[in-house]
Amino acid sequence: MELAILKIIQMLLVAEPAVVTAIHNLMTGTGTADDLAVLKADTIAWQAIADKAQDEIAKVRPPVVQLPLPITTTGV
Amino acid sequence: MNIKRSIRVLLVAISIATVSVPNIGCIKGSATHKVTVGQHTLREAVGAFQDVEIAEFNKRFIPANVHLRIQSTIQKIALAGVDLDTAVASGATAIDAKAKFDAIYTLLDSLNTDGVLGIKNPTTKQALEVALDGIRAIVDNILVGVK
Repeated sequence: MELAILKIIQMLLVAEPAVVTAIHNLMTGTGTADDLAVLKADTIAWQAIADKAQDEIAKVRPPVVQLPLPITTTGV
Repeated sequence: MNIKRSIRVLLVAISIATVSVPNIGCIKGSATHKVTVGQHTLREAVGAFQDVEIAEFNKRFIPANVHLRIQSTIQKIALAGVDLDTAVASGATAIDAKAKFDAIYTLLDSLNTDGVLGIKNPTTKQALEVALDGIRAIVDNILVGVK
């Protein structure tokens, strides 16, 4: 856990201003394709958080297994 | 380094990062500036909260049903973040973004009432409350700026 915290701190201290600049440009109507690409990477990071949460949910709530239907011996 | 100290250090780092983000052309303190910087730091803070919660669950300090509720809400917050990015990419105004942040704030409230309050271990509960307060402070700062 300490390692994860230190990694986040390191990431923040060398925080890439690219995402901040891209969002600013897009919100002020001066965005380019490059800004959209940077924002796309940010969206992927949000999606990664959602996916990680889904993995945790699956760990404590395994997916429901569909049982096969019983075979009837009497014809219809 | 204990968990509370780790979270405090993280929150200080987030604050430093927020302040140290270079001026990108808009007026510092303006609605756009706050939304721009806030959106970025919010993702880092939510990710950090998620990592701490998973670590505490793996140490058996959080029951499975509470872990399920917390991670379900984190998932909703992350998808709201995706929604915010999509809105920004399609030219959202600061006011549009505020509506998205309002939705995220509501989810943060439910993260507390449906999740953190149900934790019995006092150390774990306090650690997550500190982390959650840090996230709320980021959103509060944004909402004050765009009202």
